[in-house]
Amino acid sequence: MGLDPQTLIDMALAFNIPPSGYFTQWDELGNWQIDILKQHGIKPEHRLLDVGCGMMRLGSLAIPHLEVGNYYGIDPTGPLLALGRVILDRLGIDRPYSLLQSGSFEFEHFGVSFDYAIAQSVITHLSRPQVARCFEALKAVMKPGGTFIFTYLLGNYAPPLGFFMDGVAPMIRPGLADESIFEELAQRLDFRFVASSEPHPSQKVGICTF
Amino acid sequence: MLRPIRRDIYHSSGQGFYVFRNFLGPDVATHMQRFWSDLDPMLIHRTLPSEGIKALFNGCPDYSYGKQHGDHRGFLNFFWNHPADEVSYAVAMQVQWLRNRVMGKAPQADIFPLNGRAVSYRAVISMRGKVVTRPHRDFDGDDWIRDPSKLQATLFLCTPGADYTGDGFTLETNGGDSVRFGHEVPVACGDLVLWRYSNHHSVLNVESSGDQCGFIRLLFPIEDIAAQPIPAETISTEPLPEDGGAPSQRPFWEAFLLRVKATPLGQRVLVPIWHRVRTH
Repeated sequence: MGLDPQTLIDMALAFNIPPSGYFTQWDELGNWQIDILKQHGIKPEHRLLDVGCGMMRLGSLAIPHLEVGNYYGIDPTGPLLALGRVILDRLGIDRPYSLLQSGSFEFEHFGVSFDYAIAQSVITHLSRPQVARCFEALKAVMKPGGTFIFTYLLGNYAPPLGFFMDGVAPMIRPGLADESIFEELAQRLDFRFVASSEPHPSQKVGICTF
Repeated sequence: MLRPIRRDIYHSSGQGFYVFRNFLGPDVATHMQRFWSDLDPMLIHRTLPSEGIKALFNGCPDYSYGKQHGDHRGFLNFFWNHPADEVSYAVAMQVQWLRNRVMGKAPQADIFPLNGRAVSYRAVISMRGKVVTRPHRDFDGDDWIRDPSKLQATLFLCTPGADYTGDGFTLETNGGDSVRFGHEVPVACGDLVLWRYSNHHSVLNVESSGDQCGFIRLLFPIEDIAAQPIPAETISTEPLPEDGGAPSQRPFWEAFLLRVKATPLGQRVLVPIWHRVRTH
């Protein structure tokens, strides 16, 4: 049994995090994430890297699905990770997992290689150089044949835009008119990129095979 | 600083509102009360078209409705216009910044219609009326799923009990109780209330005499703003909530669904499920 939106809002307020669609669409997006990983073949014995794991929306579903210790999450925002730990406790999820607070794609910090990685609404919050660094860091830690699933947004007129996430955290939208940045990275770093037709509540979906 | 404010407003055990007492000093509060109380709606503002807020567009003039000595009148002011009252403009800007900070939005959000909507700082004067604003919710249901942070602000430019009598502004708390500002919740001229927009609210049974200023407040509704003027014949009439408080003519089934959505079960379980069904 999951947590209803108002309970999540109540828990977030203890960390001074205001309500947002993140909480009211918790199940919708969390289920989308775990479902697409399963559709692409994730099994309990696989290792998963959750890039931008935030408040453990996917973690709360993936940790029970995976074998002990196979979930790894990374996020730059300390209060989100702290809230994520509280949410896991509330849900009674006491299996070991690994979290790292970092905004510089230190995936190698975990000291393992991954079968799957996922980034839900993360690429949408990175500059183009950061997107490149993210893929370079993934290349170093993904197993051959490993799968990276991510979401992104395209726009007709799409310059980079700076914005405040939740009114406080400075971020940049990369400004993508098409998928060429992913195709160029795929060619340079030698992985396969597919602009997927998988449905998503609000964004487009990219699938990379390393 | 924001933590206790957000907790009072959003937590299920919170009240659903927060009162910033003496948000305005006495000089400023008195100035704004007198300015809007004395201003003839026909003097500076254009008369709001019969299409109401559906007629708003980027760069539109400030509008008014009602008559100087009538039961209700109001002034819709936009930040892109030269202000009728510089003091109100400055205060309204601060209120909008504060509301945005509490909501976790960028401070400048919805001041100008960069995303097709903008705030109007609306001076509303209710002298008398049984149903001034009918009981209703804003941004509930599917809108609440998309953004549960929505707040409305009421800046009191009068003191309930002294400037008018009756129930006045009534708000449902997060726990489902009903509180009246000026009765269960003391408020005075110059106090600012931020409150959860999706909570049930109304303005009822306002009464004032000729030597009282009535229920004067500044509201901060976020309006949909068209990029250009819309031909009047293409839009339907949209009365303002406080424009006599006519009860909505919703079909029975729609009214029933609204009531179900408002229950704790509806908000916590049924609405999220309905949102998912609709978006897939």
